[in-house]
Amino acid sequence: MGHRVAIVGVGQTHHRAKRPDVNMAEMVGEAVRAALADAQLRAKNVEAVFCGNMETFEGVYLPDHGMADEIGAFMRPGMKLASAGTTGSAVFAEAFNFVAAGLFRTALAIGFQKHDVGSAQAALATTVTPIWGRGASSGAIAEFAQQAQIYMRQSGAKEEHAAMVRLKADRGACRNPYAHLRLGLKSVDEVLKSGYLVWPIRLLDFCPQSCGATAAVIAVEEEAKKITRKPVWIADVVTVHQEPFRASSFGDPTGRETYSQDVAAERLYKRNGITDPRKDIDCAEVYEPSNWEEMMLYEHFHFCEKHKGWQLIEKGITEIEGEFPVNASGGVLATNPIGASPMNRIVETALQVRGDAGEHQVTRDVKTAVASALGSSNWTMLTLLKRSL
Amino acid sequence: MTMTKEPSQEYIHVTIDKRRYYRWPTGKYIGKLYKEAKDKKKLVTNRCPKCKELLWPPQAVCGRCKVGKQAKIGWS
Amino acid sequence: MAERVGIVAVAQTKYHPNRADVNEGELAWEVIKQVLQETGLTFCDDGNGIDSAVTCSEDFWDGRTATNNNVMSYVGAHLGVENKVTEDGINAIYCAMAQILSGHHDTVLVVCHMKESQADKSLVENAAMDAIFMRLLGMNFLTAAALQAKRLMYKYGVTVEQCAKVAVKNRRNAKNNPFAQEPMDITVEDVLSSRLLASPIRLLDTKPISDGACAMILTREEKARKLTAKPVWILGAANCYETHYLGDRDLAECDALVLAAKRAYSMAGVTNPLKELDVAEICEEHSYQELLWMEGLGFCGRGEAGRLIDAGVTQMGGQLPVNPSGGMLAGNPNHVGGMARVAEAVLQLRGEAGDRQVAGAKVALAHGVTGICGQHQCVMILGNK
Repeated sequence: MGHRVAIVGVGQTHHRAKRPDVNMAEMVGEAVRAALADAQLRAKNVEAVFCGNMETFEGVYLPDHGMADEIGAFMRPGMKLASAGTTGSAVFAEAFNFVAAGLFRTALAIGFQKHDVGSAQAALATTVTPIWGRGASSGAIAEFAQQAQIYMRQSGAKEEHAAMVRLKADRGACRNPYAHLRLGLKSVDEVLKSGYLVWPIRLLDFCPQSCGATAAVIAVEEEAKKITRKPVWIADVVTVHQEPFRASSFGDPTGRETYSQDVAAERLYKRNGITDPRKDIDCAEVYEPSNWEEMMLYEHFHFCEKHKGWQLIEKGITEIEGEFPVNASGGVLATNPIGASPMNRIVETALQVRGDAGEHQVTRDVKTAVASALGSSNWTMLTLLKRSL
Repeated sequence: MTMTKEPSQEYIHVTIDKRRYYRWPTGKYIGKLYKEAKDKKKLVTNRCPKCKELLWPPQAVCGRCKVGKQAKIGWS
Repeated sequence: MAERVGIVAVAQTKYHPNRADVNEGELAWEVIKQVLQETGLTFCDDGNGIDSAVTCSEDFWDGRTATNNNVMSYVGAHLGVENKVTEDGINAIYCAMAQILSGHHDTVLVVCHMKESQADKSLVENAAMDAIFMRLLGMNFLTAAALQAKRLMYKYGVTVEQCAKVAVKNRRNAKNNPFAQEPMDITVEDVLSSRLLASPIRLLDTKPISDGACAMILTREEKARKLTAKPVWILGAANCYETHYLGDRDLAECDALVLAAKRAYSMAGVTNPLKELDVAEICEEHSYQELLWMEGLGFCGRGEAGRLIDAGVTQMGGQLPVNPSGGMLAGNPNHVGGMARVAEAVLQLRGEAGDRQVAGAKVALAHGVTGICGQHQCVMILGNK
């Protein structure tokens, strides 16, 4: 079996719509410096650098080469990975594999995306197969609208519930200095006033596109204990890809499809002895491109029974002060640099486990946390972090 | 010349407007679909022998069953 | 780790200038099918099948975002694990090796596909250049390589004839390789009179546009011994980045390769490469690169690779045959090149290399390179004991 690995330092940029003040390398460099500072390490202490983004967005081929110096990859091993929307988590998983394999003692995992460079529209349009469109990455608003319609019909959730999710996300974002959209939304009515993009998805129901980078320094057990008094142990990573659904991308009107979220959650819980997720796990950061998706994820990850996800938000269970906080940081609804978003979920859960999340630290004591990633045709990655193994 | 302090900074941008062209072959299966549609005005696809579902678009494998051509996916 | 990682099956397509008969997924399927049939494995995670896939391809080349979608159905990733590496394919093998050594996965399918005929090579490579300083010059990897070749010749006195000898050797070697795209019988004069692409690189000094795919299956030692009578072990592997801006580098040096090679050798216990290696497969998109990379790999001192080729050390039958398959020069796509080198090394170590077999090969080196003038290098040492 492999070595135990822990996160010893995290860092992110202040995610914004545009970052004209830095080029891509400098932006990623900010996150890397922040992570190293958090770990109290120098770049020379990092043995390998793994990074990832969705390549075509910035129009740069081999972006990791262009920023090799800024990210500490100079004369260091490493590689770049990409996995559509789940990239940030995939990079983290591979860095984890390399360190657990004993090939490196420390590694840096970086996710980044700079949306204001290049044509994001062109890049998103080419997500579908050139000859035949199949599936799409987050940003396909019509697909999420369809998912929302299916969910409304199957569960009885109302637009008010989606608005409550949005409010929760904004409350968290306003307490998170790194979040992108910090709108100060006051009421459900305010959310319900925003215009529809594709019914029932409103402008506020959907994630933004942010420029940002996030980095995490991980280390093998003996090193981790020397580097920090608060290592966050990586208990498990589960990856589940899937064929696109037949009738839609993210929702299933036929009732015949298997959701990768269900499979991933089952595998993760079985491998880690989790029988009652809301008791055995203390908080979660889920990747929710839309607020409707968040309610569905509550169900898929067994935080509640099927078709009851909207009840969790109605009862305030998933608030920061709630019994089972979800997305205290504002989630993807507030901040979405696509390449970095899954890494954001991991970094935020790590901060929660450490008790270092500042104003958006959840009330419940976090010993175990789970972070999810979503990508392409409904792929899922789950990362389980623990204060002690 | 003295530099005056600007109240808001102007950033210099470089715009590169270059098209990249791609030539995508349809491949055997989608190629057949297109050819039948073009020549005979028929939509054809193939079926997975294991799950019996029609594959759309037609492919060499059924991704769900992970069954490939050795099992002879039939056209209809 | 006690258990080593073994490669149990490899497959390559015949490299071809334009596979207009297949799309990317079908091209990958040609080789995936072969390795599945050879091992009898299926995709399942109950401990008896393939439980993970590492793919390698690049959005810019395939012309779409998330190119792993092109091969998703073919790698059994439905409700399974898949990850994509965007460097040269040899790094995907390294990644799979880490997946197995970490204990997180058991048996991994690695596949790399690339259809250079689909894209405009020059424009894709131009997009790798720094947007502010280098891209508007219209540079691509070829022009950058020309700068490197010139620098190498200036600093160490490598001659165009010595580079041409590499092209002659490799293209002749390719005649024994059924997968090779452009096997040829040429002379140094043929190379030196072929069309000048970017001084000093000529047409016959350079690899052609190529389409192809390569797949292999890796697993841990105990299982590898059950799956095949001839497993090939990864004895050492390492990769390394160098700095990006051409002006910051001395292009006649390849520090990243030196470091990667040192680490790989140390893992494998190799101290004298020229003596201890039986065969080497090196990625050389342009002929001068074989000379430069040989120096980086420690086959000789700096500036002496020209003498190695003059003395015939790297010929078939020489002390250390380099690229019996013809290397990248005979036709390999970008990104597949490094993985093809590993595949060839595996065939050598299994004694299945046919007419290009180096007799009694026990330890082989495979090398892959990504980026401008070899900014990212990866070295793998393989053995069959």
